[in-house]
Amino acid sequence: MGKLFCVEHAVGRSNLVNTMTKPIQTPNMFCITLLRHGESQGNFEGRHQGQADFPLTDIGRAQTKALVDRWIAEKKEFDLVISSPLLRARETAQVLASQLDIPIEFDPIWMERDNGLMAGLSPEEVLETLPQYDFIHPYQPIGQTGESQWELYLRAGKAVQSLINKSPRSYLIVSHGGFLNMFFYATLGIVPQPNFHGPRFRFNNTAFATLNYNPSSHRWYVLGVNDHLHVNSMEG
Amino acid sequence: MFITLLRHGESERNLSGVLQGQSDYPLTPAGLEQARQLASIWKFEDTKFDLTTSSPLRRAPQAHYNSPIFHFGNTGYAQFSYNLSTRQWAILCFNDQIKLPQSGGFISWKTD
Repeated sequence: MGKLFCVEHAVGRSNLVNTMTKPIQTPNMFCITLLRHGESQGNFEGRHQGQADFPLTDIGRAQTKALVDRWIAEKKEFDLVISSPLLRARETAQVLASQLDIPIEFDPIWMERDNGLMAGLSPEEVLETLPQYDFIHPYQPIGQTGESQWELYLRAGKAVQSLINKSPRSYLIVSHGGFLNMFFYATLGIVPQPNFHGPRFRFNNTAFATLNYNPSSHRWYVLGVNDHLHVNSMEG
Repeated sequence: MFITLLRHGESERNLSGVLQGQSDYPLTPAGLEQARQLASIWKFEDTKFDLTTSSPLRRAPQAHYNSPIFHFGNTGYAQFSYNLSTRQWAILCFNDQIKLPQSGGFISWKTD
């Protein structure tokens, strides 16, 4: 199985300053990598996807391959891949799990927001077919029948809980931009705002964020956000 | 509006592990090397800035947070955008450390 310790710690540099700011190496540390799926057909067409099920595009598959190559070069290790069962995440996760030789499980708790009647529509189609509101409160269903900001936030809270109920290991989560933003809200203590205000955590396709959690101190550490250098180098 | 927050490179007192506050210590040779590494990454990415604001201390002061912590390793940086019309903040990226080539980091990886 992979490593339990995710944060490299220079020998002889353990000190007061670092205990206050730096994840302390402990066998209890959860190492969590949050990955957004590769480009999907819905992304390519600029559609509101939600739980509408689009496959990856060839670009999405190439992004995934670039990430595999990068993580092989970096000797990155995970104990378990947990993925949303939606096609775009599933395909991304399956390639990573098989190429990096990691066990995989699927859990619908990591699916994208149920965006109701917006699912699969282009922004123009949404404007034509659905009522527009001047003010959207955090409890209002999205797309008439979908999950409100608050419901999404609660589901993300449950996802955090389901992860921490496991043993402290190195997990790769393959999920979706909207949902992973709420994962950040749930761990950082940001509550949903009206009109979708509140900060956004950028997740490009196959970008990942790295978090550590120490249950002995109840500390979350954010080590990286929107790392997609493998995609940059593809374009270059 | 784009904003990048950068922590200073390793200082002599980071190395010896004393709380610094506003007491003032210079960078170590490793700290200077970290800054060079970062410069090469930003050159590679074609990252440009209009203005740089720095702490007057030779290194910048270190913040102490309660949980949770955005871990800024030496020369770790965060990039934000702020949309003046929607008043929306976005966290564009955050890197807690320079990944050195010898550790299989991205510099060697992407120039292979």
